Amino acid sequence: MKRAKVVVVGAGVIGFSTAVCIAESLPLCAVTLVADQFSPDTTSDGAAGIMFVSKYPDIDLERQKRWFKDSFDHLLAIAQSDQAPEAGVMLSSGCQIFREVPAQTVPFWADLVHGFRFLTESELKRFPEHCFGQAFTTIKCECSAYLPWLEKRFRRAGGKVQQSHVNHLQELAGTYDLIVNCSGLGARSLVGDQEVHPVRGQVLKVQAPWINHFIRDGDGLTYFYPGVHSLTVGGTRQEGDRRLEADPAESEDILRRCCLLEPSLAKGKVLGEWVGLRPGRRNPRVEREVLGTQGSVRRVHVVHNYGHGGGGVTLAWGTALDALGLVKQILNDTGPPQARL
Amino acid sequence: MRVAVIGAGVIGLSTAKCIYEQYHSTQGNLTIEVYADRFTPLTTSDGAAGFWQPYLYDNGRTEETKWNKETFDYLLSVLSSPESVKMGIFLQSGYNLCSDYAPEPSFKDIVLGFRHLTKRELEMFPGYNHGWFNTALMIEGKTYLPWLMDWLQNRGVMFYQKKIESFKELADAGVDIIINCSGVRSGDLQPDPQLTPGRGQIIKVDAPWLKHWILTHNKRSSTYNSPYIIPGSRLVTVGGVFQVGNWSEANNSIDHKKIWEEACHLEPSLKHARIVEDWAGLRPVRTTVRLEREKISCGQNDIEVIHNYGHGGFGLTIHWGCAMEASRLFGQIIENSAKTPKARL
Repeated sequence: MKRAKVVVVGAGVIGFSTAVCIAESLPLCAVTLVADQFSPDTTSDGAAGIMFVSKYPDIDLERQKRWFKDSFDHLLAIAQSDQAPEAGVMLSSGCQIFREVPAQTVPFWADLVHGFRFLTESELKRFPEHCFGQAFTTIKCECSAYLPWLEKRFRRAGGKVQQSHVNHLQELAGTYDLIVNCSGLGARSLVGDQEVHPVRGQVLKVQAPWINHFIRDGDGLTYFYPGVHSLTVGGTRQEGDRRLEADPAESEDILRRCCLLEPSLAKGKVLGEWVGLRPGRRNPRVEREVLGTQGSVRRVHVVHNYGHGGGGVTLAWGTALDALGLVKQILNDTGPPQARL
Repeated sequence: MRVAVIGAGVIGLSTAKCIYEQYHSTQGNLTIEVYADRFTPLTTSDGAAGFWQPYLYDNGRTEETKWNKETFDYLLSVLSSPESVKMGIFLQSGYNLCSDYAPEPSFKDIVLGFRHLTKRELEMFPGYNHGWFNTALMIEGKTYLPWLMDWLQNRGVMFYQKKIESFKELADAGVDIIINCSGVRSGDLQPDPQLTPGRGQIIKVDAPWLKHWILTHNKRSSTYNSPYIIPGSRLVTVGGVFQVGNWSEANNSIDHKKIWEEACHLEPSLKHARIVEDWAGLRPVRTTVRLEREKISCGQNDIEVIHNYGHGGFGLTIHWGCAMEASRLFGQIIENSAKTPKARL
C-alpha cells in the first residue's frame, strides 16, 4: 500500500507539535520533518513558554478558545505525569497587573486556566503604579526540554528528521505528497508572506530560586517567569528589528523595570541573555492551500501553520490539531486511493 | 541582668532576639547567653520543611492563632526588606486537599489570597474532593537560624555548646533569668507529662519543576500523617508521618516506602526525581504550647524561668508571636524585680 508522504517544514514548537500530531494520528503517512535550525537554536528555545495569550483580531473566538483549551489540556496531562521533568512542563501561578483597567477585564481564556480571579485591593498595594490585576495558575512549557521530548515522540511514531535548508516549498513537491509549512518567521521568504515580520524580544536568564510566582505587566513589556532552573526576565517588543545580539543597555533596563515589581530580583544571579524574533503576524495562518509547480501538472497541497507571534508555545498543540484536521481533509479529498482514510 | 537561653532552635534564637531588641537599651547590664547541645544545621527547626501553616483548626486555642498571625505578619513585613533572601523567607502558593468536606481553616484570614479550589483543580488530585488554595510564606530553618545566630553574635550574645542538666546548674552559676526553649527534651530539665515526641520523617528530593506546596488532610489520619510535598529553595521536602511517642531519630525504611509511594501517587511527576536524603526529627508535641513564667527555688537561689516550648509541628509558624509573648513576660519580671529591693539583681 502506497503511503502518503508528508513533510513538515520547521523544527520549532509548531513544527514538532504538528509533526507529532500527524505521525501519531496517521500511521499510514510517512512523515519527515525538515528544518535548518533545531533545538537549542530555534525561536521556541528561549521563550519562557508560559501559557496565556492576547486575542488575535480576526480569528473566530471559539476557534481561539479551542486552540487554547486543547493546548492547556495536553500540557496539563504531561505536567501531571511522570514525563513532566523530561518534557519541561510545570504548573505556574502568578499575576498580571495593569496600570489602567483594561477594556476587557476577563480574557477569553479565563475559565480555561485554573483559579482565575482579580487581585484584591490589599494585594495591589504591593504595586503602587498599578490599579488592576488578575491572578491564576497556568502552565509553563520549556522548549529546550520540550522540543527534544517531542522529537523522541515523533521518531517513536515512525517520523524521520532531516536537517537542510528549504528555499522554496516547491523544491519539496517532487518528493512529497503534502507539505506542512511551520516555518515561523521563515515563511516571509519561503512563501513570500509579507505579513510575517520579526518582533524582537530580549530576555535575561536569572537564578533566584526564592521567586515562585510570575508577574507580568499587562503592557507585555515587563515580566518574569520562574522556570525549572532559572527565571526568564524580560522583555522587549521591537517590530521589524532583526538584531540577534543582546543589547546590554536593554538588559539593564529590563532588570530595572522588573526589580520595581520584585525588589529581591536584584539579589539574583544573571546567568545570561537571549534574543528571539517572534514570528509576528496579524493572525496566525492555519489554513490549506494548493501550490502549482512551474511547467508541471503536479500540484502540491500545503497546510500552513505559522505566524503565532508570542503565542507559539501557548497555542502549539491546539493549532497542530487544527493543521492535522486540514491534512486529513486533503488526504480524504484528493489523495491517491491507497492513502484515502 | 544575666539571661540564659536554653535551646538554639528557632524558638530559642528568636526569643533571644526579641528580648535583646526590646530591652538592651533600657537594661544597661543585660547579657544574653545561649546554651544548647545542638546548633544549626542539626536542630529540629533545620530539618523542617520551613512552611508557614498552623494545623487546620485551633480548637479554641485562640492565643495560638494570635501568635501564628503575628508571626505571619512579621515575616510578611520582612519580605519587602533587603534581608528577606538572607533570612530564607519567600512566598509560595499551594494546595490544601481534603478527602471530604471540611470547614475552613483557622488561618484563612491570615494567609494571602485564600480561596476554595475549583472543580477543575480538584480533578488534578483524585481522591480529594474539597480543598483550598492560598499563598503562604516559607521560612527555611537552614537559612533563618544561621541568620539569627549572626544577628545575635554581632550584638555580643555568647553561644555555648553544652547540655544544661538542670535549672539549678545555671542558677548556681549566677544566671538571673532562664528562657527555657529546650523543645522536645524539655522533660530532661523538668518532667512534663504533656510533652511527647511527634516523630516525623521526610525525604528530600531534587524536583525543581515543582513550585507549589501540596498538603493533604484525611479525616482518618492526623495532621502530617498524610502525604505532603513542600518545595524549598533548593530541594523538595516530601512527607509525612506523625508518630506520637516515638523517640527514634533514625530513618525507617518502612516509613520511607510509605511516604514515597503516597507522594508519587499524589504527584506523578516525582516518579523519576532524584532522592537526595532522608531525615527524621521529633516534633515537640504538647496539648498546648507552654509559654509561662515559673519561679523555681534552687536551694540558696530562686530563679525566674520563662518556659517557651511544646510547639509541635508549628514552631516556625508560631515562633515570633511566642517570642514577643516571652519578651512581655520578661518585661514583667524586670518590673517586679525593680519594685522589690530584696530581689534586686
